[in-house]
Amino acid sequence: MIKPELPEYIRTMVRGDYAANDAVEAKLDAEGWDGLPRYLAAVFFLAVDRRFGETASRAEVIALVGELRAGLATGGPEISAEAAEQLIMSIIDPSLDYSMSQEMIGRIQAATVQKILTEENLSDDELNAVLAEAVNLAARP
Amino acid sequence: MSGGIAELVAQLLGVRAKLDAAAVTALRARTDAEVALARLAEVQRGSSDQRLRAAVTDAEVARDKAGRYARLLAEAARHITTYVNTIAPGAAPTEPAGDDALPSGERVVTEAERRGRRADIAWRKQVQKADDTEDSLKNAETSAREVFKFFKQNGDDQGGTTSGTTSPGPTPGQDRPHVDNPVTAAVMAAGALAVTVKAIWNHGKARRARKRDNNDQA
Repeated sequence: MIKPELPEYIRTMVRGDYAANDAVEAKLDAEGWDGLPRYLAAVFFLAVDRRFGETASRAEVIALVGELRAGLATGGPEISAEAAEQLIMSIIDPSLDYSMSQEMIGRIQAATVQKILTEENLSDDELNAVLAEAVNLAARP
Repeated sequence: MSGGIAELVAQLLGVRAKLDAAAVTALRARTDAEVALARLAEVQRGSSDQRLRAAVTDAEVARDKAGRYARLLAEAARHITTYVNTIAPGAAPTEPAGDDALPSGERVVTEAERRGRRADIAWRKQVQKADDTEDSLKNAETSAREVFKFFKQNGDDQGGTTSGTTSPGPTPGQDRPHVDNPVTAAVMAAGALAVTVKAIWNHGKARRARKRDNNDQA
């Protein structure tokens, strides 16, 4: 079961409502972040699927990854370009494999979710629907 | 097409439209039950009340059955499509006529299930990687939070756009209404999820639009 603070954490991040995000973060710090890796993986999947579907070209992915890295260039955690391309391509084409640490996976997923969901210009209803669908995906057996 | 066959085709297409609509309703019910269950589990925390346990059990059965109804209804619609196209080739389009048409229940069910399966594959792969390298999923959590923290500290150039296409979001501190009973929770969940099917539909629509743009440019 995904605790409701997790979608709220992502929602406030995407909306740039950092005061509310701080409050959710404090609550999660106190109660535990259980379920974040799977929930984030589900949101990442939906964000990539929304942007690229199942037929994106490598060039489009490379361009996105370039922007991801640029967004972190001013002292943020570093993302390997090759790893990010592999991870995103593995969503577009599930037959593709990758090799990287969980640490790198977490970075790529967080940066990608923030970028795509921010840029897609979702209405509040649409953003809530994406986050709710991710709750369902993360609850699958 | 002779008059008799034309009439039969029209009647069958009418039935198919009803089956499609029913499939969408069933799919909504399944999704709503799923989210209501998650809420129930949250509300139930720490309580072993027999009635709440019964609510969970019943909602689980309802979720599973609604999913089965959705699949059966979509399947029935598909059989009609095949039959109609046999007696009058091309008479039953497999996609709705235009983007403004209601989504075919069959297509909505298929897209949602397909996404679910693809998401399962992605997650299993991530877990497998962690197992293979004796890495911990916890490391993904820690590093993801570092990235989000960085965006927060760097403020406006990363996130922070609000679309403003609908009513403004709830004010901080009142984000989630306090839920004190499972019925309220279930009703809230149903409300929150009413947009899901629409979102799935919009998703497909946006993708088709993108494809068209790409084709235009090509």
